Amino acid sequence: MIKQIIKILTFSIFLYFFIMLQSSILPFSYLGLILSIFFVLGYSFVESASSLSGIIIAIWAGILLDIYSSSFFFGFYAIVLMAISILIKTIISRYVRIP
Amino acid sequence: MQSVSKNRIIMFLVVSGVLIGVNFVFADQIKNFSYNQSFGAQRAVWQLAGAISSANQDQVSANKALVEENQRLLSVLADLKMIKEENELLKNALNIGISKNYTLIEAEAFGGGRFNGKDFSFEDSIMINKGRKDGIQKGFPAVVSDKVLIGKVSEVYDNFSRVLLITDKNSLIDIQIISDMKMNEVIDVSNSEEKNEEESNSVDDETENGNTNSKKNQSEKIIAIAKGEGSLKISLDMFPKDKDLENGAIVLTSPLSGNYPSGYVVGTIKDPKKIDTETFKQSEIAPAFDPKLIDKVFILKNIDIVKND
Repeated sequence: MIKQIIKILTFSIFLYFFIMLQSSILPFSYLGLILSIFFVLGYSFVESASSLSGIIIAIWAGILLDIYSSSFFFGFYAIVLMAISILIKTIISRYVRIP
Repeated sequence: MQSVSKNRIIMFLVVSGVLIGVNFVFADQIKNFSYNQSFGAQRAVWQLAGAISSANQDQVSANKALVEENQRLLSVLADLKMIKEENELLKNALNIGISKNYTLIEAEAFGGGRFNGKDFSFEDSIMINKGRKDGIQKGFPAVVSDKVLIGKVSEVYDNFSRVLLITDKNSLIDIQIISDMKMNEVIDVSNSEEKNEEESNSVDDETENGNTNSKKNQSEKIIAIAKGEGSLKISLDMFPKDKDLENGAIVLTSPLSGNYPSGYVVGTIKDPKKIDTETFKQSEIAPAFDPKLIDKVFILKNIDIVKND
């Protein structure tokens, strides 16, 4: 449990740093988005299918993107990233068998 | 396994519902709070990026050239101030009122552009540390020193605002191009006038002076449109094909514009092209500001734009 909390906090700080860079340096405005999606998807693939931390990180990354980017409505990125994370976990738990 | 999936779907629906609910009530407050918390860090990164950008070799030489140009322009400015005073005196005498009904709000830029999820594009904008509480409203024009227009306020929060730059894809400005008033010519004219004043009042000098004055009078204002292209670029649109377009001609905001005050510098013409198949002449407009080096921004509050042709 504590390990999971530390993981979530560490990843959250990384994501915050990426998105801060995105909104502070003009020519690199895709940087935060690309790195966040890469982190969220990567983490959802790597961690155990039953764990919730990937989904929490996805929601956090989405909220940060909603704050520092523009979209259709507040919460759009959070919902999309959460859906992707849940989908990845569902696919892995149902169709992927790790020997 | 099925119960896990069911729990996750319930979790997804609950979180989505909460986020959509927040969207209608607290979205602006959340953004304002986040910008408030990250202001220091963002400003530090913004200033660091600007410093790194300035350290670039090309930038150093460009800065040197700009400093030199600025110094020469100061002398021109001094002459123009005298003309302005004379002009205002005449206007008062003729009872022609030009209302400059606005005040300046000084703000600090601290953030750059952002990703726009609606059309998967990059938005040219900056964040400033003044907002609704300081009297800023959506649509107020933003300038930097020396009457250089940078954009207008697009989003307002309690303590922060977002300024959409004139280089953004959604930006469209009515402009006037002063065709014969290239910056170097203006400087040359003023310098020659200064020299003429210092020299004796010979007849030859008077005729030369007359020529420069007639040259000044020949300057022609052509109305066109400046269209933001994104990625810090602006293009010229609706410029008549039969009119001359000089490289380096100054682009100012037009009095026809309803959104911006007249006479503010937008940029200079860069690489004009005449394509026979096109109805209008095409050109790029080099913005008069470097977004990476913006530090202080002035917002024109309560602007009352007067359409004076």
